[in-house]
Amino acid sequence: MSEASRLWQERRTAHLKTVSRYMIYVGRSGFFLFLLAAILGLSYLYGQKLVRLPDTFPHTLVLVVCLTPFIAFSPVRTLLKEADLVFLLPLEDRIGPYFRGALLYSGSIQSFVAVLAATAAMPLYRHGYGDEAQPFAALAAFALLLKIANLLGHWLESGLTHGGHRAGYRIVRWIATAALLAAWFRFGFAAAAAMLPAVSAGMFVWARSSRRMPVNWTYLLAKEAAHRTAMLLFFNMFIDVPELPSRMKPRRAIARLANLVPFRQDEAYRYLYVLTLIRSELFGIVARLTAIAFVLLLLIDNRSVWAGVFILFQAITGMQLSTLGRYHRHSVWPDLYPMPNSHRAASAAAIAFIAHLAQTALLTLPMLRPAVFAPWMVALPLAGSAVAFVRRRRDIR
Amino acid sequence: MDPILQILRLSGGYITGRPVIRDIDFAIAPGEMVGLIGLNGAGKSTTIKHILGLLRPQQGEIRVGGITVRDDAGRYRRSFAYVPESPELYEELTIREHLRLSAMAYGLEREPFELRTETLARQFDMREKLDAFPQTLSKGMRQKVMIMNAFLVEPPLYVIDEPFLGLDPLGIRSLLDLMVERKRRGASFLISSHILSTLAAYCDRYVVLKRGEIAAKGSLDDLRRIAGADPEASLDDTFYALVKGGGS
Repeated sequence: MSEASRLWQERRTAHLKTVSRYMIYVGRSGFFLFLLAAILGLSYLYGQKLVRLPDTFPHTLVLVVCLTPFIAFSPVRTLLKEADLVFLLPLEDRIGPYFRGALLYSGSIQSFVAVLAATAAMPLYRHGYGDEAQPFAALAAFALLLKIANLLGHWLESGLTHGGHRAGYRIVRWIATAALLAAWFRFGFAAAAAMLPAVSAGMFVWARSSRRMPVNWTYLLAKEAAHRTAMLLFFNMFIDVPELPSRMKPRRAIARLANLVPFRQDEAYRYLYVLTLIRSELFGIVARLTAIAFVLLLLIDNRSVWAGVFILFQAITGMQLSTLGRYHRHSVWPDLYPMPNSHRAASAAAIAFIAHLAQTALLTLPMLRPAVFAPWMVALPLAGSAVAFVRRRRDIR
Repeated sequence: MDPILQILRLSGGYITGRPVIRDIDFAIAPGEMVGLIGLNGAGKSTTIKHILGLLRPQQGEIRVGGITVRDDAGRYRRSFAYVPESPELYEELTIREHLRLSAMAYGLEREPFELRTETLARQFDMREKLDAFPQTLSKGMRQKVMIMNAFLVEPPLYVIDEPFLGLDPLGIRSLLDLMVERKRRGASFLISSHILSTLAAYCDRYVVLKRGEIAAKGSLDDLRRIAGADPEASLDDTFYALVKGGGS
């Protein structure tokens, strides 16, 4: 075995170890049960809706729009590390097996997902095409072929030197994938399978004749870092992930709020945590959740659905905010400040509580629309605040 | 006069029963500057962690201002400021916000805080960086921030771990000037560093660690005597004579 492929295997093993370690916590949280319930619920709805679809329903368009992302989105996890710029760079001419391993790894996971997506699309496809519909095996096989082509296309794309060039290549790749899928649905397997090599060859020649690098190290490193962060952020919803890199944003205007914290010793940690909340990734998450919830609550007129959305978003926000106390837990300073260390957790919980109340107040506004308002709904924000208060008491411990 | 820092027959480390430092015993009087020197791995950082109260002594005790950390943690910690070897800053806070947080944590009033921030920023040529974030600063600048935070409060004892690395010449000069000024006003210093020539110019006494134990302590003359070195020998040469043979 070559040095490069051995290195890939080591990296993959270490990566899978990390993933499985965190997966235990994901499982413990009941997330998979939730996922299963969601899938069962959605398939039930899917079956129900399917029966009632009108004949004018644009089957091909919907199928293509739903399937394209699953097939065209083909990121390659390279598991590269910053230090590789020093240690792997001299191996560049012998690194091939490493990246072949990476393509195979990402390819097998994504092929599985592509077949799953094809399976899910099957009922709608049969519904739309009736007797003309081809067998499932044909759709699955074509989805796999397209997936492989996209994966190789993505790899060629990553070698392109200019960012704009890569973006253009990606857009064309997505459009080509959608067009090939449409051709498959409309004209059948043979026609689409004949078009695929022609399109792939065109894309290949285009990439090869452009300014490119054999291995685009800096770009691959940046992509890998982004993938890793996204993965760790997901796990961070379930358990504290210490190796998560920071994504601090200055947010200078909002950060002025911290000046409202009185200049007193017992307020020191509140000052720290107001700034931490405002500038950390957490603020972005909570702000996005609040914005989505606000828009949904403006659009929904059905009272029980309204209440459900309100409760759901308040619950998710509360869960996210309760991670505030995990920041700075491993810093040395709280151990050195002449203040009880318990102040730290209590202050973080207090700031999280205030942020939660602010969201509750904001989300209560859409309730005041005459179209939805009912006296019993006043209980919703009250219950939300009460739950936040209980959570605060718990987080202090 | 009662010593501000008193270490009595201290043994300690990270694992119970396997002390990294053994039988450490020295004291620092008010207004005294003591250099803690030793090779890498000699036990300097472990000793400092014990002084900070981050590790619990396995034997012996440490008193700052006459009390141990277990007597009154708040009072114990208010009695010293610390500059760590590698800058540790909150990435969510600007430099000015760090100083404000330190001031709040140590119970400083707003007015002296603002006054001292201004002075310190000028001394360390950091006025334009006060609203910057640590990530955008070089390592030397981050070290300046640590020093500014430590000197913002005026405790009776400063514990400083390798302060000179990465600092520009102006930073080193400002730090030494500040140390001299605070020392004149009665503050004590424990400084760990490998820049022996600088220590030799400023310290009153030294503690030389070797493999977790005190190899020698006292003034430069005392060290020369213990090392059997020439009466004119530099601290560098004396230190070399003390620790040579058998690594750290």
